[in-house]
Amino acid sequence: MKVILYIAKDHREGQKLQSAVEKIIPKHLLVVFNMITALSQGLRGPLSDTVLVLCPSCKEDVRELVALRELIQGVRTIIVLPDDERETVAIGHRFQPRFLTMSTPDFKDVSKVLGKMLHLRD
Amino acid sequence: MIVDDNETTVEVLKKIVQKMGHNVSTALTLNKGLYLSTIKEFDVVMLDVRLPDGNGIASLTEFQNVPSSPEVIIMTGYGDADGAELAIRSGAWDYIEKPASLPMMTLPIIRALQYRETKKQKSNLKSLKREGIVGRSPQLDACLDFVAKASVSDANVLLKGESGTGKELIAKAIHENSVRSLKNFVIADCSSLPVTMLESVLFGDVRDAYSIDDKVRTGLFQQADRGTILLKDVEEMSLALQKTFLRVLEERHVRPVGSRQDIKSDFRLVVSTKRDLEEMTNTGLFRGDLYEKLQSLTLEIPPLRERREDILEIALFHSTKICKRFAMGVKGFAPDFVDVLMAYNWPGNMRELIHALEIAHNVALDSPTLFGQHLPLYVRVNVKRSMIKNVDPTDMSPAEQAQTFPSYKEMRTETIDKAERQYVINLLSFSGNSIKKACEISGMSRPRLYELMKKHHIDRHNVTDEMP
Repeated sequence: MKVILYIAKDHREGQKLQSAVEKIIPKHLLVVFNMITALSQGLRGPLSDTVLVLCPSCKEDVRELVALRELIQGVRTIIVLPDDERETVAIGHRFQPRFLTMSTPDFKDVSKVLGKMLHLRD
Repeated sequence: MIVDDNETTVEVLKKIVQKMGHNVSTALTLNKGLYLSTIKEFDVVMLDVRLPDGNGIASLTEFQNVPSSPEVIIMTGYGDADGAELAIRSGAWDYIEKPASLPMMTLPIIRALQYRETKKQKSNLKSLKREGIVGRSPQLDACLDFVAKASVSDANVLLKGESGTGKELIAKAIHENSVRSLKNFVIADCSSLPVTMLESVLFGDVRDAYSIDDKVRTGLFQQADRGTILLKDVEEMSLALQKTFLRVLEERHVRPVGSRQDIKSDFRLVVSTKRDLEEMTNTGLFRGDLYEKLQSLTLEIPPLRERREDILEIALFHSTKICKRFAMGVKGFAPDFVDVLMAYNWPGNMRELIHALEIAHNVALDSPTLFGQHLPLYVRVNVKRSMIKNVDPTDMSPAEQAQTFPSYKEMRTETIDKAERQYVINLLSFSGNSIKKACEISGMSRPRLYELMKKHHIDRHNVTDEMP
């Protein structure tokens, strides 16, 4: 199973999330993008055996990602939102994510969920 | 409406139709009939042919074109075969020869009304928002009919079906067609979330119960306030969590973990499962009272192999989407590609079909047409095997025999499958059919064990019979 990780370039805690994901996913199965344009190119391939982790840096970034919704329909998605404002959460749910969470200092919850998803696919 | 210039006929017919439980209007002339049909809505018009101000058949289209577009039953004189034929050719629903017996009179009306009811339902289905739900099979129509009914209600919905049958699409369609569509459609995937996190994710938690800033993290139930929540794979919930969940369902309040305050949430609940919850209830793995609460409206979504007539349409729909995503031109399907799609059983249902299509498009990057060979090997092998199962090998040419000889990979997969199956059978037998014990002995997780049991069609209650 492949993991596509999008961490907005200007995300303060992005590096921590990447490290957390790298601990559970072998490098050759992980593709990281920091720009939405690059991500949309990266989504142009088979995705049915993919988990997508989206970590936008702000509400505007979340809104921009919505434009990719058609490309990622049906793809198992984890979304890490920049804040827990009602509007941001509402946009987050438009991705129909398997897991929706907010940035935490260690991203432990993301690791746990991703770990379980991988375990189920093994 | 009855349009006839014979007052006696009109009165007799009126009484018959009223006795059937319907409202009736009458007209003694064609013009009055046409006028009434423009100001009132009718399901059926019983129209005489010879009227003082014109011919009924000649005005048939005018009656059919009014906004309620009623079904028209023509009433002809006895023995007027030409008139009857003309009536049917002109698009009348049926014709009655006057004078007619009571059943001869009522039957066409009953049938016309039944037909109209079906037509109404179909037109309701046409106006449904059904994003991603593709097909025209009667089985799918029944699912859409359920969506239409469920979306005007607020009752709990239970969706049953194998993996990949589209339970999430049905749940989304119920939400999209309901009054809650402007609010969140929230998915809680019980199988993806670790058991230890599930309660916090569903009901929220106090982020740090010991700090001054004891901010409450909202749970999915709260996020689904005035919207819909889909609880996927509800069978994965622990018994302890099921108890909490039952309380939430009854009170429509959630209490975040670590908090002392309840929070109100007006959510619509849709639950999906790929397991037999009734059996789980019998074995004590699922609470009976919760199961009762969940199944107000229940739908069993059929597997793809039971609605084969939809396969091609689904494949075309997803092929177009895949081509768009891959930024490639639309591809055609060769006959042998369609043959394989139609012959394969798709145990993983739509999810497996979409996966196979993705692979085919990826393999056939430069080819404008998809051929059978572009599909994954396991699909082709499976179809080939099922086709040659009943053929005597001695009747085959050496080349055909070579084709049926398994490749190393096939042999390996088959051997592992056999061993895996036998292992699970032995394991369940050894553990006295206890899933818990079997997991402890084997070191496998519960979902993994169930997955293997499903893969090899092992029913743990029949394990002793299956022992070698």
